Amino acid sequence: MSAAELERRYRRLLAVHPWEHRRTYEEEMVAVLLADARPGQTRPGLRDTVDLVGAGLRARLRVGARGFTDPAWSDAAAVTGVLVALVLCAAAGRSVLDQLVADPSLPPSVRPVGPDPVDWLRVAGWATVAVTALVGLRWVAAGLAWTGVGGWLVLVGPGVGDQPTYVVDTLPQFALALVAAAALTAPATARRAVAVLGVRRLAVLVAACLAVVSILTVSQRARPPFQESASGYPVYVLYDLEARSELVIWLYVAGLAAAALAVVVAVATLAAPVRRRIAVLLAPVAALALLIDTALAGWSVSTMHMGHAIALVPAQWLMLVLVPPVTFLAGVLLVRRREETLRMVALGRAADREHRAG
Amino acid sequence: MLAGMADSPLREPTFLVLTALAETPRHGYAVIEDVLRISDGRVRLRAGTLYAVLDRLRADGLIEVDREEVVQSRLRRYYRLTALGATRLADEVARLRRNADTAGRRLRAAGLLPEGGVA
Repeated sequence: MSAAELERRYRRLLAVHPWEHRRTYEEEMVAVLLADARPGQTRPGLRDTVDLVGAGLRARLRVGARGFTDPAWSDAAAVTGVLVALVLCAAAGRSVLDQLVADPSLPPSVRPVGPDPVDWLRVAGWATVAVTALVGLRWVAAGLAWTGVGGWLVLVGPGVGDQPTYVVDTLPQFALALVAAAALTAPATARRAVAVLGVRRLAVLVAACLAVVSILTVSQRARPPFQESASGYPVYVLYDLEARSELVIWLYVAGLAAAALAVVVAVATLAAPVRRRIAVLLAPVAALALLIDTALAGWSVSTMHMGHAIALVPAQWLMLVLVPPVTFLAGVLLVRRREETLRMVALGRAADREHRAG
Repeated sequence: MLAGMADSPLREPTFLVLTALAETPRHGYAVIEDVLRISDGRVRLRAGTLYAVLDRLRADGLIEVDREEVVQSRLRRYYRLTALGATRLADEVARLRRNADTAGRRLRAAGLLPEGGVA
């Protein structure tokens, strides 16, 4: 009776091991553990417990790491690296144009004097990252992307104390830079992104980025002039878009939606395993942006109207730091589970066909 | 991968498991007992560690399954050294011996060990 009890407890501990290991060794390991047990022993000893759990976790880690050697991950990383570099280049281009093109709706005294040299550097840097990654200079691309990550840490990071809103606002861009840098550092064959994307998709992605930047710049340039807007003409506003007629606003929205749709279609028509992994690589940034837009929206508004910065409480920082990696891990597990299910279904179908044929 | 592995020293549990299997094919529990014996009671392998080592050695082709038996309705799988495993163990023995010889020679030359203190 006690031997059965001990065996049940050992089997429960063995469940820490990945199933491949259990399938091969569980019976043998139970035999060894029981042979080693003292007469009348009903509970696993402390050392055996520590050893079994430790070995099981190490084996799981090994199996987990092996999952990342799947070529679909390196394809997804190659595409994500280029895609994110394009987006960051477009974002930086947008800030340069924002300061370069006079906004007629602002009184002349508060119009920006000219773009910050750092913004030019960002445009040039991310454009170079995209180009070098595409032509196969992966290490140059990765090095530059990491420089971008470091740049944010040095230039924006120290503002955590006195300008927390600025830090939090730029956090998604920082997260994107981090994703690009990590994705480009992942091992891949040269020019993999071009091979996976194809020239046509690549052209669509570049065109979509250019279109978004152009639409936003045109909408800014075409804003009703400062004097006029002060004197009571109707002005339609939707987020950052502003125009004198509703139709123009909807034209802008249609243009932006078309660009977004083009990007989504370009990525969604990739092979399913690559597409899934790109989504997993980008999900942490989306989760972070969502978190900032929802959970921190109230804080952002109040700190703006308080006249002084309200510091985030540690729990909020913790959330900002933890949500992206947890989202990534959850994505990895979901992809693994989904593909395991698909594999089982395929196996089942094959067996079914064989059975019918036989 | 094997070429890279052959350059790195074997860890002690791995070395002792290979040594236990060099004599005769053994099942898991017999490996634990033999390792305890050849290490003068110093190394007591636990099941988790043992099967992690056995799994790695099998994957690297250094050992293989010899036969399976069912004793008192419990599975006993016997493992034996492969030719590759024997070569790897012999290489390791040569490496350890070279290091030990050098250390012994230098200790003697420096007068830190009585003559014949190291075999």
